[in-house]
Amino acid sequence: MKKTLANLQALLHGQDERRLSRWTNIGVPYLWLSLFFLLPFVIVLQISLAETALAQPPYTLLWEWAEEGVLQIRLNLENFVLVLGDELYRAAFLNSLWVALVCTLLCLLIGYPMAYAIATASERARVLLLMLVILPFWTSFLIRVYAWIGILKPNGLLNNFLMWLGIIDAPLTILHTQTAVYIGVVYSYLPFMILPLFANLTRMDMGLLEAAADLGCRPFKAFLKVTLPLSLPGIVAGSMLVFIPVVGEFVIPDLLGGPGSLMVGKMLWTEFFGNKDWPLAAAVAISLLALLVVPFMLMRRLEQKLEEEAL
Amino acid sequence: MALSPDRRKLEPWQDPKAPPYVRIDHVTKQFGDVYAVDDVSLDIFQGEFFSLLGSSGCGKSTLLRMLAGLERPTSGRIFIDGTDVTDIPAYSRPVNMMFQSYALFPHMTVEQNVEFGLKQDRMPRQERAERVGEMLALLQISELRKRKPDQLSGGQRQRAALARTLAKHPKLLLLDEPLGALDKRLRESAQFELVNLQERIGITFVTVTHDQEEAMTMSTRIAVMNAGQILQVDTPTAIYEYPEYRFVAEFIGSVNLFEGKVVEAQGDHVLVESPLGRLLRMRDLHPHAIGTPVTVAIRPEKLRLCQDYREDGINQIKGVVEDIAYLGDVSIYRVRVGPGTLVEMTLTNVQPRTEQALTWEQEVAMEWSTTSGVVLTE
Repeated sequence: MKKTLANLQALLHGQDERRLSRWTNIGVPYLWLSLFFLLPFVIVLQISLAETALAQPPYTLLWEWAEEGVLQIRLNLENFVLVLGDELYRAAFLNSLWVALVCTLLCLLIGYPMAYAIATASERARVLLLMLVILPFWTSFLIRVYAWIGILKPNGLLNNFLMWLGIIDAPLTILHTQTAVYIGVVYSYLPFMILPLFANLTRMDMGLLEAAADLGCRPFKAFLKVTLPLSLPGIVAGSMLVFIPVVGEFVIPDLLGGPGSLMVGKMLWTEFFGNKDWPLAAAVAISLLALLVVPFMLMRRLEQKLEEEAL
Repeated sequence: MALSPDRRKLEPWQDPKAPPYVRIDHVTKQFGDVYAVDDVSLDIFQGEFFSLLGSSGCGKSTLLRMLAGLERPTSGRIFIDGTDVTDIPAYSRPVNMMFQSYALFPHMTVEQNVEFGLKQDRMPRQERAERVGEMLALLQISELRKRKPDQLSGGQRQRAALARTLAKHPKLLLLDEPLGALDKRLRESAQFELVNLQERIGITFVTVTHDQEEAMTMSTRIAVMNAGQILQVDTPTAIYEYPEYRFVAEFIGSVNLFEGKVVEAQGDHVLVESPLGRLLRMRDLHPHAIGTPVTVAIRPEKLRLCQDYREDGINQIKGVVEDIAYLGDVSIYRVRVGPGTLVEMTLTNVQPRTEQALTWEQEVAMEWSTTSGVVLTE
């Protein structure tokens, strides 16, 4: 009898523990997301619907208590009207999307062969090559971008080297042009393309390429028909990791770009710190988020639907 | 001795005039300083079901991969149907291989997998569809045509892989541990299916396996490999009944080995004196000179209970039952015949186990006929 009781207790206890672990399993990521995504998002959304004010912080509250306990809420949509309607902002958005698109494609073109080479290298070489990809992260991002100024400026390393080789007579103007932005972005974001692609390619069964060859497929065609489609998840992951942050990129266009390289990140910075217009800056941020998240959500939905249909 | 025409067709290796379909000519493959395949020469004939048998790392897979063109021999030549294919890459060889992992393309349906090789040959769409349908029907997986490999069971995957390799109607089909991923029961039925298929479509099969039972049931001939070399090439029966090397004898089935010295030659048999004080009369394929120390082999099921044991009897031996393993259809008895020497005897359980006389610690006399033992070459 005593034994049965003890068993029962152990059982109950075990169940409790399981329930607890289940709650922590689901709860921790949810808590994390609410704390570090949802809460800041709500704050920014609230600011974007406010008006500027000479106050600390420099915007009005959305609600106030009018007399006799009536809650008065005032939403200001003017910022969004401005952001979506203004020519300058539209140009900045389009330019940001364009730069992000071009840079994502460049990263893919450069990163894919690199990831492939690392994935197919010998065990020892692989460690070394991966190290070389990750190594730049040990230096501050800002310093690395500054270093590019030294390389790209008229009497910088690149121009001096090309003139020493005799390829050019006069220095090229690269710094403070869109080209400099492309170079800086591709350089900075390349690892974000290589790493997910490497992770994907390294898991691929090389036996599949042998099977393709055995069935009469030449190596390049086997790459197109087998490797490429199988690495699609890696391509998507890498492209998102590059595209999304580049759209909002601020540091690189600011340091390397010129007056022509108008990007959303830079405008946001100007509104926030230069003009002290927090609500407008917040509206830019929210619009940017909508611009990026909505298409990706639709894509994800479509993907799921296709998967379900396949089953 | 002249062979009957039938026999010549069934056993082309007996016919000196038959041209080999595959000729492996002094092929060596080195990885670094390891010899994976060490100076192997081998002829395989049209319509054979040839098995390369050996434990893992013996070089059998490397040899198969060289036939497929996935590895290049370090030296030596490979001929298929009279053509030197040593320098021809895998994608141009008239050979198809079924991989151990099946290597089905995970992003394609069963149908697309089977079609893949045909597309490479630029076969017209109509013909392609027909061939795919034919292959799927042959392997009874027509209803799975729209499935992806990860939606198939192990057995279905094996069929899909086989359909894919057969689709191009190769003259030579290579199978790397074709049934390794299947459980025992599935494997047995798959073995028979493979043999039936081979007899029906008449192509030459070369298969690699470490499973002696699989090799025994399926093959016309078996090559036993060890450490990169081929030890013996023969029919399953000959490999089992007349192994030439200790490794071959021990690798296939269980065997009792005795050391001894040749004391008398009697035609294709010799009389061997064993340290156990017994005279053994054994078949000797490569006559040994008198006085040569030799190892002789006798299979456990060739032993039987001896009714008239004589102290000077040939091929008779006496001992004490030490161990009995009851397997249902047969029982295995381990009999101690001398210090440190155990002999294994397998007896069919004609009587129910409970009514059998033989029990532990019992003295038992055993014998075997002069045709069932063999002297090993090595």
